[in-house]
Amino acid sequence: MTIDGQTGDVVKRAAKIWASEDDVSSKGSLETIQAYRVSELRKMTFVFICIAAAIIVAGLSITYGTMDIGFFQCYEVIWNHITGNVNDKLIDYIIVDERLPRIAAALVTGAGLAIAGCVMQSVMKNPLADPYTTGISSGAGFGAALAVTLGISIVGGNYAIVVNAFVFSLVPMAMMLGVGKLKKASPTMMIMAGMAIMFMFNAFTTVLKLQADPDALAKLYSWTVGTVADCDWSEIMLMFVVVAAGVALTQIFSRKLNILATGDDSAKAMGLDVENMRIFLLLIISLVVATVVSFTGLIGFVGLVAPHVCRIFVGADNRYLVLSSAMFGAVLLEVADFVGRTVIAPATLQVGVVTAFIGGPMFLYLILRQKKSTW
Amino acid sequence: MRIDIEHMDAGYGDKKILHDIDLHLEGPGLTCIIGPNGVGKSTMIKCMNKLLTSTSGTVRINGKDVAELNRKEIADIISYVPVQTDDVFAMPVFDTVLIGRANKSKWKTSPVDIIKVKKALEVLNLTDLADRPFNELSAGQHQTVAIARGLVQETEILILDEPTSNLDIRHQIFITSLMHEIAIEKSVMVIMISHNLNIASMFADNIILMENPGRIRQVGPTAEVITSENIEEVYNVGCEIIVHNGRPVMLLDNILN
Amino acid sequence: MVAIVAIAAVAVFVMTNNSNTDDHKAASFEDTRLRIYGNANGDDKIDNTDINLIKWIVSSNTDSDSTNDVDWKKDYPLADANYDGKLNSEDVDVTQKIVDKKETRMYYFNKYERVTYVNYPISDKIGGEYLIIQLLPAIGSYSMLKAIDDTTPKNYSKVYPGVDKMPVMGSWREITIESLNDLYEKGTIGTFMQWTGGQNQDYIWDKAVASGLADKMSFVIVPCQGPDVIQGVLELACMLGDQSLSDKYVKWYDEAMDLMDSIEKKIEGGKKTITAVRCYTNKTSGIAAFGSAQGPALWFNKVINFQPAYVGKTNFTNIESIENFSATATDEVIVMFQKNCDWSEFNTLVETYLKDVYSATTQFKNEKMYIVDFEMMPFAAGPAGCYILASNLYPELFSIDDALDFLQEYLDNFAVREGADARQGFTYTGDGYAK
Repeated sequence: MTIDGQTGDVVKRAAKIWASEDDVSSKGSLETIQAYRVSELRKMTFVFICIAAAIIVAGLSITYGTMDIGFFQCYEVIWNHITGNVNDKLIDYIIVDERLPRIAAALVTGAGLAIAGCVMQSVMKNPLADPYTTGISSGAGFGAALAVTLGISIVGGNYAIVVNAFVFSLVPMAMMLGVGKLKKASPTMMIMAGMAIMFMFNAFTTVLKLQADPDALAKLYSWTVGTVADCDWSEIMLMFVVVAAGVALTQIFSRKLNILATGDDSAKAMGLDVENMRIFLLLIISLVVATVVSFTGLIGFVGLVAPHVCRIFVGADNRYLVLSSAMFGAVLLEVADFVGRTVIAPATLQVGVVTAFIGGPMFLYLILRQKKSTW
Repeated sequence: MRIDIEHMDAGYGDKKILHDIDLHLEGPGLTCIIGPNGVGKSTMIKCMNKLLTSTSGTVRINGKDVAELNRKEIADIISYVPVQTDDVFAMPVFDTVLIGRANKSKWKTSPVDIIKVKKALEVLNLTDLADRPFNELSAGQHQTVAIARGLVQETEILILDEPTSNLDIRHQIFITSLMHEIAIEKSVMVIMISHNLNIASMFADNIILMENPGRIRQVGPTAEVITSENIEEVYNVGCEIIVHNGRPVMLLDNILN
Repeated sequence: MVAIVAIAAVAVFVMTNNSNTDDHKAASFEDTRLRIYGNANGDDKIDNTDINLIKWIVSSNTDSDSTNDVDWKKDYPLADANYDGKLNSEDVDVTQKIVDKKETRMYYFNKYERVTYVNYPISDKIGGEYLIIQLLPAIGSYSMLKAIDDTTPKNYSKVYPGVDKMPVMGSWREITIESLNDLYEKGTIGTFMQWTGGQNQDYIWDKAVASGLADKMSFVIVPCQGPDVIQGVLELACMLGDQSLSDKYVKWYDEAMDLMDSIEKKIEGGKKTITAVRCYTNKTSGIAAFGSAQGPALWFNKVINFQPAYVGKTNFTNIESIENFSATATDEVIVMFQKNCDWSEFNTLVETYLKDVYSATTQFKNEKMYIVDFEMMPFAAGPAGCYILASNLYPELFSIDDALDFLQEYLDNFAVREGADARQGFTYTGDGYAK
């Protein structure tokens, strides 16, 4: 047989297979479909586990505090509050106005930071990207600090701080986009640029601290470390709305994120408006980060670690990764806050300190565990 | 299906790469683009699906000017396999290829999508790698997976940028031959940039030969384009052409002028 | 006979009017040190003179003569003892209760310029946040301290005995209603004193009211830094129901403050302009100029004028270089140290740090650097610090011996530890500038 004839056989057979009718009901097909559906189910299960974990962690956390309030009594108090039937004003205050806001703020902030990390890692194709390492948190923090210490803000009123934070978060974001366009920018280079930006904005914020009066200074100090202690319900509602919108939008775009992950040219060729989508998603993320940072300060590691852990279970498929990252981030931060307020009770460790303790080693472990070619 | 390029110049920034390109391709079949390094082969195919915008001239797909088509419309007609894949994260091969079905499927992955991917993997001998994370594969395997992703898009035109550069000769022959067979069986216009002239010559229906500085020297059936005169003038390499299995084969001189 | 009676009657009338005039002198809110409602005449005590004054205002405003109406809101703002915007017999009742040490709600004008209240007389089981606790020894009541915040033991276990064993209420600035209520229910504390010094905010009162804890515990939010410490001392004693507790301190404080106030008149050109810096470490990078809103600075204002170039806002603008400092600072310099080392180590500490940091400066070489300790300056011992400083800066007016005697008075009467000697360790007593 000539070489031509041999290859012709193999190749012709392959081409015939490709051109053949799609038989969805053949035994082989059914097996493949079944296997795929099972893997889909497994991923969905993980998402639900994350959601459940967030609910459980929050539910347990509310029953714990310096004072010994019984498990069922806590829920009774919440129920009474909702039905307007408050028995003990003091216990009601403790549960609903001291413990609960903290938990809610931690959940929302954790979800927001995690989603930001997830999107950034996909969009910038950089496993090390998160709001903190790209300097976006610091930019937002600087904007917020500017509003608080010097009263300089772009709009007045209730949203002054958040709007400032958002606008100033755009500076690092623009810089990251710019650096990303450089032909030879590797992920590490981008993160180094991000950290340079972070140092810069942190320095600016420190300068502001020198100008600050004592009241403002106390608030700034908490920010630098990251805390969920100061949020009132109106602030939490704002964070919730923004974060929920961010998660929803990102989930809707999750398929497109998958396409984006194949590379700029490949994605454009599949019909994606790559530049605009990137900018749009990063704007949404900046808004989420800015909102969250304005109220809770600079909390690191959640945005980095949550998506990575979820990737181990659901892979890089954004359709599952987005929601599970958000929920896992919520769990992570809530656990961090729980640890922070119990480990040296009645004194408290700021949540940002705890995430560094938990997140640092976790991240190191992730790095060591991965095969080298992940980066 | 047809692609018509008229009087096209194109380049990057101030640098003009392509000069006054005229090209008319019609109907299913395999067309290979060959030419020296940097002559503008990649540039030209990127102008076909508007990955790159030409500085002058027109590009028409099925009679419509690409300037008036949006990316989605173009993507429905042309699929593109880039020379390098960027996938960073550890997605299994199956899922990576499945992304190619994005334009065909709705939100939920349908049985047809799954079957198509299964077939593509089978056809390209990737079935064993279906569950392996993409970034654990070799460069050659990356390329083949990218081709699979191009195939499952099931468009009438398929453009591949050097899909065989990292493959050994058996696989080069396999892929090039496969592209030809699929072009015939599924009625697809396949355009492929190739570096191995002899293998291209074995299977291509048409050859586009490009020469410096960014022009098309000749377009036509393989036997008409692969001549020792063309090769010598374009590549500055002497050769003798023999015919084997009905196709021209170059025997290269071992001394350069 | 008639003439004598007439004259006597006139005399009585005149006298009554005069005493009326004195007793009815308008109270200047700015000068009032005891800002508790009920202190109608604005002096340092709540007593019968206040009750009489309120009665007089009420009767003047309710009689048929409208020409003698009193604008009490302007002239006697603290007369409204129950803070309801009206002046009537209820205010008399409340003030009487205060005098009789009966339970009542006591309103006061607090450090954050809001009117808040305590449940009089306040519980003598006190939880104190950070350094507000230094008010207690000033009124001889350190044993009332039963709980602290989490930074106090770390920094001040050597200065305030027993704080490392006391229950902790929470983290500074983040104390929760929950933890306070917990200690209240356990009977540990009944009063919370908030640290009102720099870097703290008005963070607890609204929560106390919203949760209802303010009706069970007393929240004392009084000044304690700088010369305003007198306000805190007076108010705390009054709230405890024993105003005599503050008598000694007030006398001691006024003695020094009167002397300091005389500087402006007695010195040619008034108070000197002096550079004030701190030297908390022996690294040049650690030194910084003085924040004018910092506790010590508040006292310094009594003795000197700050050199403008070296006054930061709150946080310590760093000094660029020692050479620069040497050239631009004043000839005499105040250097603030902070160290909770034992007093026996203080001399060595001062000599070492001063030499390591400032030995290149002309001020050091001329031996014109005056050492003050942070522990003494911002707080109740501030007057002693002023006196000692003044005796160095204005030797023609004050003698260092008198100043040290004055400090000894503080140590004997208002300090926590026994047997402390002003001439050992609370001032620098070394041999001079170690070369």
